[in-house]
Amino acid sequence: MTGIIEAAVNGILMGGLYGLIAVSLSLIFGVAKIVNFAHGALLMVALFTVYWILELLKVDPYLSALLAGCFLFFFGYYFQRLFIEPILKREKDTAALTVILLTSGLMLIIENSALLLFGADYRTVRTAYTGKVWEVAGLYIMQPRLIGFVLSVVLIRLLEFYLRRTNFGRAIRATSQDREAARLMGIDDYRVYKVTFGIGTVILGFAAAFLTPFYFIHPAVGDLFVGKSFVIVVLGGLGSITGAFLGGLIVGLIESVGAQFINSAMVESLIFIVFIACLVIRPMGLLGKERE
Amino acid sequence: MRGKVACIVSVCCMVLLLGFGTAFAQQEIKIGVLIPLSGSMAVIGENLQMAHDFAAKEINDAGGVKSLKGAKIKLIYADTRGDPKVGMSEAERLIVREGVSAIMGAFQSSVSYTSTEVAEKYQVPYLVPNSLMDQITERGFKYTFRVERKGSYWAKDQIDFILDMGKKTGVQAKTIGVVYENTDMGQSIAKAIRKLAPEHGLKVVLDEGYPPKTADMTPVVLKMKRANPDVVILNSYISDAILLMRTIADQRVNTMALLGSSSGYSDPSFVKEVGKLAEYFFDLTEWTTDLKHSPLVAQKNAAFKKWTKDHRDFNGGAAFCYASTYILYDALEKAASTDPKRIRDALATVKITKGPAMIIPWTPIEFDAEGQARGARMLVIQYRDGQRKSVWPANIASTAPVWPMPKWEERK
Amino acid sequence: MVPFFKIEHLEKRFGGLAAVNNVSMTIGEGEIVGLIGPNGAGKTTLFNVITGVYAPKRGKVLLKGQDIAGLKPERICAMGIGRTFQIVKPFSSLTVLDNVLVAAYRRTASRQEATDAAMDILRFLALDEKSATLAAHLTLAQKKRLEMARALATRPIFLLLDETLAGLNHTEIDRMIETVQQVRERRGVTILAVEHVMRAVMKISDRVVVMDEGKKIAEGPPEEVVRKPEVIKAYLGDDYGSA
Ligand SMILES: Nc1ncnc2c1ncn2[C@@H]1O[C@H](COP(=O)(O)OP(=O)(O)O)[C@@H](O)[C@H]1O
Ligand SMILES: [Mg+2]
Repeated sequence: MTGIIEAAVNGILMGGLYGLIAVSLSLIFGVAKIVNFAHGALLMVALFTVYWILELLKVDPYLSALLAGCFLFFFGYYFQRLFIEPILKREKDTAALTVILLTSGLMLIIENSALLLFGADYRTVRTAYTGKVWEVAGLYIMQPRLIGFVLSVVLIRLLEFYLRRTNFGRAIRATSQDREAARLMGIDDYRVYKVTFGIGTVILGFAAAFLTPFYFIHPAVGDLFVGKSFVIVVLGGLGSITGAFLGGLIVGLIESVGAQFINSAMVESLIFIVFIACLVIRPMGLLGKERE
Repeated sequence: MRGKVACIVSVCCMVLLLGFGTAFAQQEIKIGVLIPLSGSMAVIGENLQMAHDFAAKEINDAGGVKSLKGAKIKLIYADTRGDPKVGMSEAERLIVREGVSAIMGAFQSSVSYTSTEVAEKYQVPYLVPNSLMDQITERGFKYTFRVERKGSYWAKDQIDFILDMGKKTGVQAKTIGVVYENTDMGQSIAKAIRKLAPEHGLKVVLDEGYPPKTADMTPVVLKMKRANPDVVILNSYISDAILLMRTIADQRVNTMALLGSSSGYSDPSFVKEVGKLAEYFFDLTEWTTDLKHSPLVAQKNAAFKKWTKDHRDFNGGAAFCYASTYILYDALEKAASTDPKRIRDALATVKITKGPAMIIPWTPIEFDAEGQARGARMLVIQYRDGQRKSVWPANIASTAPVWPMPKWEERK
Repeated sequence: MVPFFKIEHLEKRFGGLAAVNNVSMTIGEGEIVGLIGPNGAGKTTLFNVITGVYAPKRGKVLLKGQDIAGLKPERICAMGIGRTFQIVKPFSSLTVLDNVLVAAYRRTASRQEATDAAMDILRFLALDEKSATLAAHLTLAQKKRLEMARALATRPIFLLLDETLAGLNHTEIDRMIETVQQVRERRGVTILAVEHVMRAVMKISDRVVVMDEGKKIAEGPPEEVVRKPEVIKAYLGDDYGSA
């Protein structure tokens, strides 16, 4: 029984990080309707950013998130500005497919650039939190995972506050719901997209900082998360922040607890079964809105 | 008139050139080498190439093939790109266009499997230094020879090691777990262990294949913790090896031994990234630089290190390529011919007990009727102070094994 | 004197179809102009061109003498043209207040000012009690008023209303007519209103413009225009067509 509880705790903690990564994807999709296949590559960029900050400045990994965030905001902002925006402007109605092709291509380019720049080495960072464990009633809880989870929850609350309560946050939500109407209210939609992309990339920066103390960094590391993120986004409801986070927790739980009962090679299938079952019952996802 | 003279002169020149050309060619024996030299395996291929080149250079410097009047070995490389189809067409090109007398290669099992078929068709001997796949030497081919141990025997060697350690130390394993990346390779090792372990009184209490690209290894490790096997045999690629090792330590999963199956666990990144956590970890491997069975191991490794630009050690793959070049050299001396059929017959009857090929940890080097190296065996290393130290079998080991591994709580 | 609003030879095509075909008109400051015409006449498209959703193929859109044709919607909004949609488009997962705030913030960065302005408008449209409700939960009539509120929050000098009355019942229509008139009186906004409900058109419009098949076919005081044979023909033709 302790084993199952331990697995559940781990599932929730890891699920929080899956959720955070998916929140970024969901935000960008929800607002700009961009299916970003380069999401994993951007996570990788975020991980390398955190890595180099830690290597060069030797700061606390959680502090590095703030520094990385500053850089990554502009990275995301200009990623949208330089690559995606021209297509949206040029193709208007047919842009969706082109954007998918474009982001897939960019993924390859970014990953290969990282291979050229940093090589195929696996890197890890030993931080003050690495390998630290809290023992609670016979359970081992890995410190960096718990810290990462708690900070993820805080971050998502902050994001929701930002979207709900601030001027630009409202503009983002308005644009996400009806781009045309928003423009006619005087909102610069392309600016909203760029800022949203920037915010999404900043979130990846935080996810990267939370992962780094117990993870590895490699040009292809994004591949481990990107498929799962898409599943989570759809499961949670396209564009829903809380939904994506909840979806992350669910996937984390299934993955961790499921593996205690069936072979881990089968757990992927189990996730998909739950995923499809959810979509049959609620086609719009857990917290998604019905589309007219 | 002028034209006529020019014509005669040039014909003479051509005759002379041709004459020299053939004379020169007789002093060379063309050997084809199929390895991946581009794509994701390029780094590995280049490393093997250096080992082949180093052996050929040593042989040629020492006077070439004496039975062929000092003819020099000329290695002709062909890039397989790691692709079985390309391997086939390149083998064909080496034989038909380049007219090689023998081939070595092709590192990846899948490529060796297809390209040996081409060599068989043209009746050209093909020496495989590194590929594991059993079937390569199980098709009744006359021209295929393999130096490396068959993959299906890995599990046997691992079980032998576990039993042997139990006998030696009195700390006997009763239960065993297998944790592997759910790929062909992982599955075949797991399958062999499922079959062999019970035959030797080891109960398999955990049999866990995880999918490639698993982001979190904790579920697997928690399962391991609950099953509580005495020994865990692991087969992983690099990132999963790193994650597994860290999580096993985080979760304080104590076992008598963790035993890897090369691959990720023998990759330099593994010990570099997990650091102290790798201490006492066992790994099954074909070769290490510290083998004690022959002084040649240290000598040749030192020479290779000196010769390579970046001063690298032999790794297992490179050591086998180096030794294989010498095995082929031995056959050439015996055959005293560049005729592929003669060389094949010589290879089938080699019995090498001395010379640089002996960096391989068994004697004699000879092939059975299938073309499989008869005495081929694996060995076990243990990570000690970050080094891979050979610990088993005892006759070639440099270091005494620590069995069982100390508990995580007792390490500092 | 520069006219308040003027369009000249405006043309917008969808493929081969000229949805707006060589349309010109002038609107004076403070006027309420009704825009009528059968379905598919091009009225909504005309609105879309004026507000920058589409760039015209040809022609000018002049607001106080400045050509705004082809500018981005958000620029045009900033210059003082607001609109409502034929198919209501509130931001449904935002509250009523947030819907209006989104628009109000385009005019001020101050939270206080924006909120005050938004509440003011909500009170004016009798939506203040619903301010915390999600827009999705409003009735159609309330949603239409929210559309109006949102448009007003951008502080337009010129407001385009697209079938604000469609789907409303009698009392709701009367109330909306009153509201439209008040918008002009209290806020001095010039209005161009597409409307099918003739009773309302006659009541609020100073002048009526009639479109059919992309062209302007008539213009004048409401009572005169509806008697014109070409207008009757356009409407009857439409009736025959749909019968
Ligand atoms: N986005 C569009 N693409 C193609 N055709 C359109 C589009 N929008 C409107 N139309 C066509 O233009 C014509 C005018 O439509 P519209 O402006 O909506 O008319 P109204 O509002 O007067 O009913 C119609 O034939 C309509 O089908
Ligand atoms: Mg219309």
